[in-house]
Amino acid sequence: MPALRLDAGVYSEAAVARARSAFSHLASIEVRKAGRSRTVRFSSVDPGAADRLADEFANYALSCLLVAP
Amino acid sequence: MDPKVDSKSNTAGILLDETVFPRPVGLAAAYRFLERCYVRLEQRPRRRLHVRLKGKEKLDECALLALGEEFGNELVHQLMRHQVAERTEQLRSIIVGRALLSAEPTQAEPTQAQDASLPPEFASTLDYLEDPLGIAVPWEEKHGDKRKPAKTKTKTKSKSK
Repeated sequence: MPALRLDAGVYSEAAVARARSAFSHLASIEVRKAGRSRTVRFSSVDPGAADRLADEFANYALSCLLVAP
Repeated sequence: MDPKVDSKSNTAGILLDETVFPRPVGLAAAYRFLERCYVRLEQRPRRRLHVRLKGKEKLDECALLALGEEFGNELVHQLMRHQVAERTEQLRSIIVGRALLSAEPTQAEPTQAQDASLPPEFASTLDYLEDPLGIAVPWEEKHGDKRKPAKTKTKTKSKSK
């Protein structure tokens, strides 16, 4: 599964961490900050959620920016 | 700010100028679209924010363009809200402050036990389970006996007429 790259200037560490804990039941998620982006890698992904996991993760992280910045 | 549509990747891209639409405005507008599409934000040089809207299902070019244009409308809407919120911030904090202050009990106000409308013998020993004014007593028990004389009164009136 390709890694998800989120702009660190937009997506805060707290928002990504919240999304990570919310999606932890669907995959093993590793987050690394490299330069201006946060790279999110998914492994052991639930087959039922694989096709939309990265996009849903990004959406959830974005919602966390507003709800709990 | 015109949306750029890429039907191959099923996306519409919008580049925002953050000097016009500040970051909270862009975020609020994006938040409104989370249910309809996948939204990805990216910071660009010279205070620009790139918004990528990706359809949750396959959308044609027209639908993607409409999505991007709707996002533009939502931006204006959120900008308006942001400006009104900024303008009325002081007023809102005054109103909330007043409301909170007025909700605090002061010493001058009578508490339930010191309520002037209650008979003095109950005022100090009042419990919420007690019913000194007989409010819980059924109407029939309280006024049941008075019904008959009321009927006789009406009869006498009709006779006099």
